[in-house]
Amino acid sequence: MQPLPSQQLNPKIKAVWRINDAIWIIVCYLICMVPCAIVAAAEPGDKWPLLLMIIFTVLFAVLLILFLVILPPVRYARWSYQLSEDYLDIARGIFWRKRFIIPFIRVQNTDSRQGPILRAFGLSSVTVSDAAGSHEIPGLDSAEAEALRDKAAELARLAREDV
Amino acid sequence: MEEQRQRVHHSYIWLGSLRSLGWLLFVLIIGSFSSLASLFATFTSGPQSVLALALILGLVIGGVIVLFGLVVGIHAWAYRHLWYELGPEEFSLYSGIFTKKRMHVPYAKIQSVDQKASLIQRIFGVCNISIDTAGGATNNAILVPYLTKQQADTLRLSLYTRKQQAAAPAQATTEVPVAAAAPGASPAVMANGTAGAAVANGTVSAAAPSAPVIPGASGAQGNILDTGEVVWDQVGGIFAGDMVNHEPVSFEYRLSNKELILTGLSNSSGFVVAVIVVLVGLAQLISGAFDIFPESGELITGTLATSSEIFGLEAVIAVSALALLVVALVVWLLSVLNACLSYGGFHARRRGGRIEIERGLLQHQTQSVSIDRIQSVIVKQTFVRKLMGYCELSLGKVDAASPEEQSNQGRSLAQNGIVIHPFLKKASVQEILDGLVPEFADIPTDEQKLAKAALRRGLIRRCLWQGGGFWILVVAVLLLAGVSFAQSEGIFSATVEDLMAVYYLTIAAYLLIGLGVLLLVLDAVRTVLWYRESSFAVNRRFMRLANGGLSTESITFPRVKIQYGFTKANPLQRRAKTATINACTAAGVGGSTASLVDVTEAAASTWLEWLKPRRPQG
Repeated sequence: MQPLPSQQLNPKIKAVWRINDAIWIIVCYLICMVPCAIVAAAEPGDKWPLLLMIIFTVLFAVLLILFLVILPPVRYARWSYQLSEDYLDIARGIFWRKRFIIPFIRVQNTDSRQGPILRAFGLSSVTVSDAAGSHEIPGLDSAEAEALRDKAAELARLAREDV
Repeated sequence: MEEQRQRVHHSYIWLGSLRSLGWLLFVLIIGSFSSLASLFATFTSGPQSVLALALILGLVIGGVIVLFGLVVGIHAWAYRHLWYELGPEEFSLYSGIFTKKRMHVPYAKIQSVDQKASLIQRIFGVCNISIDTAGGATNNAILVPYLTKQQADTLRLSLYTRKQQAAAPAQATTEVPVAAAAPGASPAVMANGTAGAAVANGTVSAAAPSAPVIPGASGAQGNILDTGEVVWDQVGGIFAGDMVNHEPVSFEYRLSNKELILTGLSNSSGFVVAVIVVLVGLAQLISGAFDIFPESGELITGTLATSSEIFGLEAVIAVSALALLVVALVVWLLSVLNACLSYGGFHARRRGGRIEIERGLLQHQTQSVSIDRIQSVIVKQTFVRKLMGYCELSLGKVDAASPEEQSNQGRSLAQNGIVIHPFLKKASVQEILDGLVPEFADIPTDEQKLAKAALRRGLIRRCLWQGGGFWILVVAVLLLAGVSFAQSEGIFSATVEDLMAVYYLTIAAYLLIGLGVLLLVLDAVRTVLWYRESSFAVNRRFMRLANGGLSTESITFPRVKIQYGFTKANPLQRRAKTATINACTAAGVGGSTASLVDVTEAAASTWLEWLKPRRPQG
């Protein structure tokens, strides 16, 4: 295969991923746990709610370890991109490794976006859209993201070909 | 440039209200049927029944008349607020009584213009026009309802000429690599009729055929349904108006009798409908059989059922099976007829820089798309057509979600863009393409086959993981094992019922095994065919991707229409040194992806390299 693209995401993105995933996992955990807890409180003699709660907690712990400890570094290592003169090159994916080529002359619009978590770390995400779909580069330094967005928009503006 | 309000035809008021009224009445009748029936029942039994009946009838009729007036009033009001304008740069449609709606489409963004007319609309010579653009999540088409034929033709023509004018200055200043690459094949683009000058993408239209050239080889003779079409054209419909003078046609063909009928016969959707009817009927029959013979379970299991009873049951089953078959046959024939009618009067023609397809004897449809909006050329063979050596040829374009539920039927027939030939000999594909879209004639030929490992991986994937046959086999074997285990454990007693249960379970298991093996073999055959027929090929401007199997599909698209492409490889693929290539185009609603599993890693990486944009030389 070809060499991977040279650019890496900002390392802070790992923390963003962790927080994001942790919130989701905790929400799911609570949704599963609360009914069990209510049932357990209502009928103290019943064993099933307790058993379910133990299963959920174990699952919770496994998911936390998986998404907070194991996956972020791997995902980070597998995520790379490169902005060349004419196209955007993205390589990502842990099991299904994907390699995207997105020619700028096909790009219809580019936006940068900043959610609360990203803002807390001073990061932005850039989305590049064409007529068939959109591609997100999740974590870039805000200044860097602006520059990338501007460059992508600039290159996209040079497009003459239409859909 | 005239910029005036153009109104749609006044049949919008009364035809439109008739249509909505029909719907309203239908819904009302369905909704209030039971209450009406009970009313009738209570009143007809009384002494003053005649009077009451008359009263009810009068009320109902009065209600309908009021409703009709209301609907017509609303339509008339809406009609006053419905107009369109052909501005200098964009087409605008104004509509809405309370919430004013204005839709603007820049001419350059128009993807295709379709024209549709239902049977009633055809009689009156009016039609709907829908303008497709590429954009928005829902990607709705803009519908201009109830235009006379003349208006519609004029509108379509002016949309295209303005579109070309809008595109012309941009092309004059910048060299478009595609057009420059094949000057011989570039389309002759006629400018506005008043200007009268023929301008092509950089070259003058010398390359285009001069007079209408009708190819003799395939289907110029037409078919039986064409007569009907000709009559339609001559009669035209009440408000149709005169024909609009178009640019000359450079290539045109129709379907022959044989092609038309075979199109209908080999139409798989009719077959599917028939199968569904049979299945539903079968389910009904079985549940009905249990209703009719509530004791039939015991009847069969009881060893001493009299032969006459059994015979009666068999006769009933035989008769109903026969009836079911007849019904299925009728349904299938109807769907064949429907397909024939919907392709009746089929025309495909090249007119200047665009392609027009006309079809449908009852519900008429004209689709048109300009050459530069064509995303791909698709050659599709269903299993039956493959056996006969025929295929369906269609063009991919950016589709818009239709705002009207009415056109569902038309949409299902033309799911993938525009069908430019529903039933074509495989050998004459090139000939048709040369005539209709010479821009796409340069199909790449140096095929890259799949990797060697693809066959093994394909067999495992399609026969085991995704193979229905394999899983049926697993279930059947489990069933057999379970039965024999239960027998050895002595769960079944020696009663007649239990013995019969074991007997039926075993038979079911063997039937399942038979079915599973059949499906498994089918899967294997499919996979081997897929392995041998699948390939992709690229040249400077085009990419062709073929996926084989029992039915095959080959899709060709220019490199400039690939929005983005990616390769994908899971760990097993990486070990086998293969990858999946995916090319995404804007065709369809919201884009579509053509993919090929398990090409070699090296081929995938050269393909990615090929995908990268190259600056035009010089």
